[in-house]
Amino acid sequence: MKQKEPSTDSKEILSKLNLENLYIDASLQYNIDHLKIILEGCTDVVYREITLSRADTQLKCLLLFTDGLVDSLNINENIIKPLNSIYKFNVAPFCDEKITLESITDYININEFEKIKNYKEIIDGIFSGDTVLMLQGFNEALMLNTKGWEARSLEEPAAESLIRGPREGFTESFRTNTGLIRRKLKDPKLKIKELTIGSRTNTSVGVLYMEDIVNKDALDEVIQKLQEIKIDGIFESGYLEQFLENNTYSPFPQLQVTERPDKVCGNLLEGRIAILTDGAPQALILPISFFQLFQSPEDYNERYMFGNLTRWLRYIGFFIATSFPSIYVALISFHQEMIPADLMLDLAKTRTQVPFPPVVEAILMELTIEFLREASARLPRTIGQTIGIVGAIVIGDAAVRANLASPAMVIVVAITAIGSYVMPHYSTTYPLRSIRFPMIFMAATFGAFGIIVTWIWIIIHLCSLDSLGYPYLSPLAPLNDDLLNDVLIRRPLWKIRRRPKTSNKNSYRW
Amino acid sequence: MYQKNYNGEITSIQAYIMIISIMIGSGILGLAREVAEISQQDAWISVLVNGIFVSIIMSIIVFTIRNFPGHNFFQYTSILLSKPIAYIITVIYIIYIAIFSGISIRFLVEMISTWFLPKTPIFVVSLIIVITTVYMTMHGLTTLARFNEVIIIMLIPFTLLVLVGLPEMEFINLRPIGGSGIKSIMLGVPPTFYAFSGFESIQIYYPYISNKQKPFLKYSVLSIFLVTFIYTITVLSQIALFGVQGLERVLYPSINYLGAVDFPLIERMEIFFTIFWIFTVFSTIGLMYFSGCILLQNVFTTKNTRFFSFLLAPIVFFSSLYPKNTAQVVDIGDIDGKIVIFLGFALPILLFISFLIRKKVGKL
Repeated sequence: MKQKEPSTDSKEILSKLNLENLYIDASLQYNIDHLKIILEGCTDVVYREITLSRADTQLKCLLLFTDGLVDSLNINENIIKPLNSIYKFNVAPFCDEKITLESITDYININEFEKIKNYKEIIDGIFSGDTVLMLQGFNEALMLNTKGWEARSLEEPAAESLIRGPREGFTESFRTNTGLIRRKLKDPKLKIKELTIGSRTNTSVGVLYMEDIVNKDALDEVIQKLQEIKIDGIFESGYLEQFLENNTYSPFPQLQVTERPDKVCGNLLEGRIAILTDGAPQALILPISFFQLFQSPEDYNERYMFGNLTRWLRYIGFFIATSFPSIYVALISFHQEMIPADLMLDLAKTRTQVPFPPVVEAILMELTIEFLREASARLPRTIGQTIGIVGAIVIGDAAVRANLASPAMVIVVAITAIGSYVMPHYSTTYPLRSIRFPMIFMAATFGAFGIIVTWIWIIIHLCSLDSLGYPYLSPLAPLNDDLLNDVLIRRPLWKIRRRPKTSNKNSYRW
Repeated sequence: MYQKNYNGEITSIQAYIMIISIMIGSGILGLAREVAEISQQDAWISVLVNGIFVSIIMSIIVFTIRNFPGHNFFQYTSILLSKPIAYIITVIYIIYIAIFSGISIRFLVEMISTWFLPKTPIFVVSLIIVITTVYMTMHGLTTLARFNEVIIIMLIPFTLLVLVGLPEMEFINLRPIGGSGIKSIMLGVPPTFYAFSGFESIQIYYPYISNKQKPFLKYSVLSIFLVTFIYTITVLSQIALFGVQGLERVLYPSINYLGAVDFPLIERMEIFFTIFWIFTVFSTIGLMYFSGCILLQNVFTTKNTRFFSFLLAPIVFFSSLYPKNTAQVVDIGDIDGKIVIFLGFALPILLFISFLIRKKVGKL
């Protein structure tokens, strides 16, 4: 057989060439030479050459895999051992001249394999943990599933813990995550469409939906948008979120992020679409409405009455977290006459010691709280607790004793901080925290009128938002009967028969 | 399909809510006093009579426009009353809106100055309101309609506050019912026009309702009934509380009314009321302003209304600064009530008659 040598400047040519157009050659040596150029410096790639020889025939083959992504035991036991035993016991495929790739696969004990033809597939395969088996004299190679890397085991999602509900959360591994969902939804209508995004990371992204419930137009739009993404790397679902949302310049999240498989399954059954990203334990859910940010799986797990009560606590918490400091500032600086006389006297007494106007006091205390929160979120847990204690002393006691803040202000700030923590997911607290400061300024400038105007701006903004074309304030605006099904109150589960408007038309749960 | 009502269209329910929210606004504050000056203790009957009257007009409007699907205000007036007259009417309407959105804003500014910000210059507050109005309307009709759906919730506490005076009411003030005579009851109807003004804008908004197959006629009349009910209850309770003589001495009975009642937790309940009231007036102003934008768009046939919502802003801002004092604002408000007689009563009847004639002649 004529040996093809890679030319001297092949390196340059190869780097320019699209790997998709470079096909596997029949000559094994030619392939090895090319691969060594392409993968030069990739020291984690292992080339294992095996020569199977019988009296007159010799069959050279190459196993190509990436160390660290594969299960070595699997390769030893199920690929190399059978190949050698073929030779040893002088069995079938080598007795006649017609050796095919199919006949080889009869001896290899690997559950999943694929025939590949070009170099792009080889590279993609070995870097996803597959092993490529190339044989002398074939234009095709076999890609064998030998994935087996170190992965985190299932843990309870730290950011979304529940008192009553499953304790498992997503992991970084894509297949584990789809498995977690499939285990809950044993229905062939649950479809997973896989895409690869990121020119360099080649990250697998899965779009999950229930075929008969999902809104087809929304699904097409999501897939189209995902396919149009042009980026080199995707490391977390947040990357996708920023490409999918319609209003980038808005503090409100237009997609929901969750680590809980049960939450994803519940949303899939409401006709929503979930997106899983390889390497991230967070799934994206869309389209969502504003009110969904207030919903937690516990609302459904817990009994009817208390599911509703906790949900209303969250609505009140939202209002408190955004407006309470500004209401305090407005009352103290503009509308003292609205405070009952006895209370006013007490407030005035404590405020005489404080040198700042209420707005400065409020901003100072709120900033301190924000610093504390940010610090304790980023630091290791053990140090985080220390920060908490420091904060409690600084805010709670020292500031008041030093007459930098009035005791009433400390109470206001504390209630506000707690109010923003009742939101079921951490990223939904960002809009609350960012709205608060402009509102304090407006309250300090225009009093109650400033708060009203800020709220009107917020409401207008919320009305103009949408999540994948789904009105953000739905079902309140535009009004529909989901409002009494699952928003203002959650009806008993046996009464919620119709699915929300995010699903297909006239979709019923049973 | 959730993208249906996205491109500048509204649902029947949204239109129903919009009628309510455009009608309830600044008019409610002085309503009881203005009517009671003429029809005495029977003022509430005058309000009721006007409510029935307005709902008849409403049915006429909807009945007429229903025959012109896909035609906007300018187009169907052109068909019914010839193009030059349609131009004149539309231009008058636009001028009316430009001036009276300004006056409504000024009225709001006056109230804010009285209750919240006595020292802040009027133009600052007015500017903030105009900016908010532009922000409200620049996203188009869909967003505005959604905004109104949210704001309408404020009507619930607003209406509940009417009931707080219940323990102190003296129903003897209402007697004898009908004692002021049919003539004075009828004479008491015109002063209520200002409070009811706004319903005529359905002439402009109706073409944008997407699901007209629903019984919109029923919805629209129901919305008038709801407003009439709220107004009647308000007037009734205020007459019962103050008496006719007492009413004549208060400028804004709806607000002063709350000052008469004590609450354990919140002092000055009337400020609390004003907060809810400001929300509803904002939606009134927004809807009025946007109907002007739609008319401008009808005349100039542009793609969207965004440009006009910016264009109207300076005009509205300066017309809001024009009146020198509160009394002048109230006076101009009365003129508003008179123009409404033309745009809200004469125009629909004119269109209706023209429609009937043309139908008989067979020109449609």
